[in-house]
Amino acid sequence: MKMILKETPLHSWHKDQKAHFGAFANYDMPMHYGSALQEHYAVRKNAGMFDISHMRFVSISGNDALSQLELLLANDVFKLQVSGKACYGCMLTENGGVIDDLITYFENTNQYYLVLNAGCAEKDLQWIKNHTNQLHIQDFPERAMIAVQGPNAITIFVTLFPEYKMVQALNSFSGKMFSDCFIARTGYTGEDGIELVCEPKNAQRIWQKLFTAGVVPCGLVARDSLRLEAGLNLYGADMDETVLPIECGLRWTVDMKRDRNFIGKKAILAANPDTLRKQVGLRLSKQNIARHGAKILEGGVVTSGGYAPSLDCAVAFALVPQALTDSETLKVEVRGVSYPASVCSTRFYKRIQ
Amino acid sequence: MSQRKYTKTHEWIVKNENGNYRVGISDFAQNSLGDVVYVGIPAVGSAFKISQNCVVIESVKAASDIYAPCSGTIVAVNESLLDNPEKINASPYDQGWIFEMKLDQESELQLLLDEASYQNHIKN
Repeated sequence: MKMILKETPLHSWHKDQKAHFGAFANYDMPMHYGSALQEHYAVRKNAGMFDISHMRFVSISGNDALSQLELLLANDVFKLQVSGKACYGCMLTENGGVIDDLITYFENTNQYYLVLNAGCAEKDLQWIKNHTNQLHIQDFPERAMIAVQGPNAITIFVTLFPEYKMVQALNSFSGKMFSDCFIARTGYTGEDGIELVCEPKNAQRIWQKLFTAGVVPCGLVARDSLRLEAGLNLYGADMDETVLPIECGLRWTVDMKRDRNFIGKKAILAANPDTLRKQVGLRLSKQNIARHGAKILEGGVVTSGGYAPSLDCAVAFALVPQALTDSETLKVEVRGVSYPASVCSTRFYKRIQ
Repeated sequence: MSQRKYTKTHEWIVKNENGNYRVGISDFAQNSLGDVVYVGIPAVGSAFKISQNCVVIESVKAASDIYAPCSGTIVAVNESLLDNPEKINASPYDQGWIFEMKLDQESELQLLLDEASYQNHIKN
C-alpha cells in the first residue's frame, strides 16, 4: 500500500522549481533543488531559506500553564520572564527518555507557544493531554513555517519586509507575535537567522519575495549537513525515548537548580554515572563517511554522520560508553572495514561571532 | 561508437575502440544521488562477477553501491574522480566514467537494457 504523504503550503512552489522530493515525517518534502552543496554554502556565506512547515506550532494557555509546563519539561520555563523569550529543552518519559526536543516561547504565565518536531507532534500532543488538565491546547497543523538562515539573512529579511523590522532587535532565542505572523530569532544551521510561522497565503508571499531577492531555497539535505556541522541533534537519530538527555549532549537543558519536580527527574537523578553513555564528536577523512548506525569497535554507535561541506571531511556524533570519552581516537566500522576517527567536540563548525 | 547498455541498477557500459568496456552511472542515477563528494574506485587488476558490488559513491545525502554490469577484470580507472568527484554529476557519460573492464564473456551484455528499455525502466 502506498502511503499518501502530506504536503506543505509551499509544495507546489517546490514542484514548479523541480525540487527533488523525499518522505520525511509523513510529509513530501524538498530534499534539494539541484545541489545540496550549493544550498549549504549559500547559508554559510549569505542567506538560504527552508520550508519547515512540517514542524508544529502549538499554543498552550490557561491559569496553570506555567506550573504544568514546569512539570512537563526538563528545562525550567520559570526562568522565562520576558515576553518573547524562549528556551530549548526536552519532554521526558518517567524513565528519563526523550519524547521530543522542543522550543517553548513565553508570552505570559498563562500563555506559551511550543514548536514540536514533525514526527513527534501527535504523540507529544497526546502526552501533554494525558499529563495536564485545564490547559487549553491549540494546535495549528495548517500553519506554514519558514526558516531564513545565514549571515545576511536578517538584513535581507528586514529590507524586504520593513513591517517586521523589529526582528533585528530580537535577542537570540526570542520571538515576537506580529498581527499576521510569529517570528523568532532561532534556527537549526549554526548561523544567525529567523524562523517564522504564518498563514499559508502569507508564507507563499514571503517565500516568493525572498526568492526574487536572491535568497537560496534549501532542502532537507542541506538542513541536515548544516545542523550536523553546528553540533545540533536530530530527534530520532541522536535521541529518542531510549536515550537520556544527559547522555546525548543535552545536559545543559536539564535544569535542576530549583526544587522543582518534572517528569523524568527521578530517573535522571537515579541514573548510574558509570553506565551512562556519552555523546562525542568524531572526525574522519571524507573517504570514510560514517553514517547513522555505524558501529564503534570499542563500543557504541554513530547516531548521525555525514560529509561536512564547510570542513571537507566526514563528521559524526556517536553515543559511546562513559569509559571511552577520553579516547583520542576510536575505530568506526564503515562498510565492514574499520577506520580511525579522532574524538572531538560536536561543535565542528563555529561561525565567527 | 557502440550502443550504450544499462543495468536496472543504473550503471551504463559501452565498448571502447580498444575493445574494452567503459562503465559509469546514468544521468538518472547521478541526479538521484545528488552532489557526489567521494568515489571509491576499484584497483586495476581486480576482478568482479556480474552484479557484484565494485564501487562506492558517497553523496552528501547517502552512500550508494555500484554493481559490475558484467563479469570481468578492471583494466583502467578514472583517477581524476578522486580529486573531482563532481564530474559524476556534471558529465556522467563522459568525464565521469568510473572504470574500464575487460569482459569475461560478452554474451552477458544481452542481459542488459538498451536506451529505450532503460528510459522505460526509469519512467516506471
